[in-house]
Amino acid sequence: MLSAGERSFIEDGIAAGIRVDGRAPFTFREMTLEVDVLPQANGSARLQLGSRTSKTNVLVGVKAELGRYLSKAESAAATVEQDDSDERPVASQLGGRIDVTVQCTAGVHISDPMLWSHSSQSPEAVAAPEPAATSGVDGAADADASAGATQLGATQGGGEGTLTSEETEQLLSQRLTTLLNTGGAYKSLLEVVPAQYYWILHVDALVFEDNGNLLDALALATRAALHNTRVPRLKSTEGPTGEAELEVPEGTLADDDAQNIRIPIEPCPTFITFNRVGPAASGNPLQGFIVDALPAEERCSSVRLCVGITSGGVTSTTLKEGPASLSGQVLIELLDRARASGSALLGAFDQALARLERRRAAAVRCAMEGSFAPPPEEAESTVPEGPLTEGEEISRTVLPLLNVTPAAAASA
Amino acid sequence: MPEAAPSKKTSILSFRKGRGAVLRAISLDLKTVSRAAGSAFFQIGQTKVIAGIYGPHQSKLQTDQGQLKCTVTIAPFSGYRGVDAEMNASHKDRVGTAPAERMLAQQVAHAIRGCVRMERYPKSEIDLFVVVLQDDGGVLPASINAASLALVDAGIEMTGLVSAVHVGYAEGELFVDPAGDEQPLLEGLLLCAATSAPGGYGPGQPYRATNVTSFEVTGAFPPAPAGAPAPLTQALALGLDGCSAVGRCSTGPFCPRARKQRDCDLGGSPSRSRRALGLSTGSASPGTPAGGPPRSPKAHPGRGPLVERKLACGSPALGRRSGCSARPGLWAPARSAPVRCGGAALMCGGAALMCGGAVPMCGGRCSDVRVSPRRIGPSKECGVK
Repeated sequence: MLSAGERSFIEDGIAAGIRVDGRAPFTFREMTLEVDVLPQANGSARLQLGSRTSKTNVLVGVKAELGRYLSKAESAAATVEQDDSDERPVASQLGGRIDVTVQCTAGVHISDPMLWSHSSQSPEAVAAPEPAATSGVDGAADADASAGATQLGATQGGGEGTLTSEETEQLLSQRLTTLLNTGGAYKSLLEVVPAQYYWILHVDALVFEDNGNLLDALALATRAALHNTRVPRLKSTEGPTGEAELEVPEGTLADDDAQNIRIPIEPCPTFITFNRVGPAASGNPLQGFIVDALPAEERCSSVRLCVGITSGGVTSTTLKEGPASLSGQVLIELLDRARASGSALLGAFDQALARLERRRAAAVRCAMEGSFAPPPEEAESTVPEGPLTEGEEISRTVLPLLNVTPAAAASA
Repeated sequence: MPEAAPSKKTSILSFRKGRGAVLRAISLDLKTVSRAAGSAFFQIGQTKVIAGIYGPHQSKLQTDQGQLKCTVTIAPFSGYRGVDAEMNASHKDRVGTAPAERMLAQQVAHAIRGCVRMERYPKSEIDLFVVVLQDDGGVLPASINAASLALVDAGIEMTGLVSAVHVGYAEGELFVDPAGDEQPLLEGLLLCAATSAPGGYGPGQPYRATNVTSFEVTGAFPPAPAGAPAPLTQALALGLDGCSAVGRCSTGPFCPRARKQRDCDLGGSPSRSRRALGLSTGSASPGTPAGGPPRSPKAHPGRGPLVERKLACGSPALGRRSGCSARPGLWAPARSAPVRCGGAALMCGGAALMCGGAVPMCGGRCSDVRVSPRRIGPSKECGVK
């Protein structure tokens, strides 16, 4: 619930290029990243976007399960039903994939009004709709001919129905699952024995706090957790029927990396969300767009584009949300900007992940060999690794404010 | 599909090499559901969708803005395959159609909501029911098109007509409106729903869609190769052209004055378009049964002369709703005979138009081109829900 004064304060600030917390429009908040937080999971990560009072806090754990394709006899006989018994491995026809489930812990309020507008349920299940203040028609004030007429002003949440928390969770889960499985990149990477056995990665995300930009935070945390994921290297032997048989080891994963396989994250896309606050300007197509919005900014936003982007510049799942429309020219500029910003964001993020991985490897070596000296190949790393600062742990690192404007990224 | 043979993949898409910018034949019909306030039937290729609008009626909530509730039903005989089933490997969608129906409802509602003037209907509800009768690719854009036509038929106030189209990417080429057989072979798929800029459509100006109301990408589009624009950018441009073409077809019935001055030629079956161009027709065209459009001027006396033959679409002349193009806010047509509009040429980037809308895809589908579609079900009593 924003008053008109607050709304105009935010909009005027962004029109002048300054946001309420002092950031530039295309700057991410400071991120704190921790990995290896769940010892029982194959991989885990915790991401905190922002700091102090307004942070978005998510925890992601990855567990791997072995699946196998149905043999010809089985697929001819039975219907394809998920086997609920404890039989391992799970038999189905679908192949290697990543399944994401998002859950919000109790008391978390998803602050994003545009998620609400996706509800097609009847309003009977709904709490009182937004008060009339937010449905004031600003459309008349948008005189810009190119995009203004279809902006019905502040219509988000205007009594259209809110989602229950289960539906929000399902929507987020579905978006992330779609993002990670598009293109089939992981389908082939997760094969253990081609056409027979594959890994299913179950990604469970817990949202502790939502203070804006939840989708991006979930996608980045999932990326960190996948980077941290190790699955055991399995040996396959030829069985009597000619099909491979695997030895599935019980117990915890070995610390020795020679026995584990890491999950590659080059094909893993992340979401980057652009919100437009305020009216469109005919001069600058990207006028009013911001990344990493705070909850108040999300409420002022009339249109949003969530772009799924990999570090190689491949654009995958993309969605536009919000009642306003985007002109073709704005969309094109935005997609170009998303590619540039995505690679800047992922570059910095992957460097942080590499930093954590080096520290972890050093700690493991310490424990196993009892020596503190880094191995020779580490001396050539280009990023100077100073001594750990007070308060920073082996598995935790902080990314400072990240400006993803192409000019700034090029100079960085 | 882990067992897809590569030869099968290339043979289907190879039919469309170099013809990626042609839409399938479009047929549309208004007032298909007599008990609804407004309804429309939209067919593109073999994908058939009916939409019905009930309302506005009073709602329990006292809101300043009306509510638009959208429900999609996929008929069991429709052969719905789900565009996302192959691309996303999301096994939840294969269990039943209910999740797909909910997802489609969300997507259709999102695409058209921005253009409906809900502030004119306080304390009211408008129910939109969409029924998918047959799925041959492009169910979501067809549903969006049918829904906006139904809204117009019902006389609901809108700021513009929303038209939608799919653009697929495979093997380095873009294909607009991929059919059912082609969709599993695509690497990336874009749904583009767009409307025209305000005041951008009227007599003398062809319908041009510029403002995107829904933009969804599934799959993956590669980054820009050196020196060329990115495939996604090109797909967006192609999508806007496609939306413009569908919009031209959809708005044709409503503004006869604008149609006279329009310079685009909507080709129907290949023989029809040849006739339009003054060439000989050859053998009897398969697409003109006895009940086709030439009968219409006699069947509807008093409607005025058929519009000139330049518009080979051959739709019967409609009720004279004068000035409907001058009032951008109001899109309700007169109570008129159902319209048939065959084929849609796509004007891509201002180049010469490609007429003869039906593209022979594979397996002899070119013989199925029909300019005047059969009505689905008994004409007057067919009700949706």
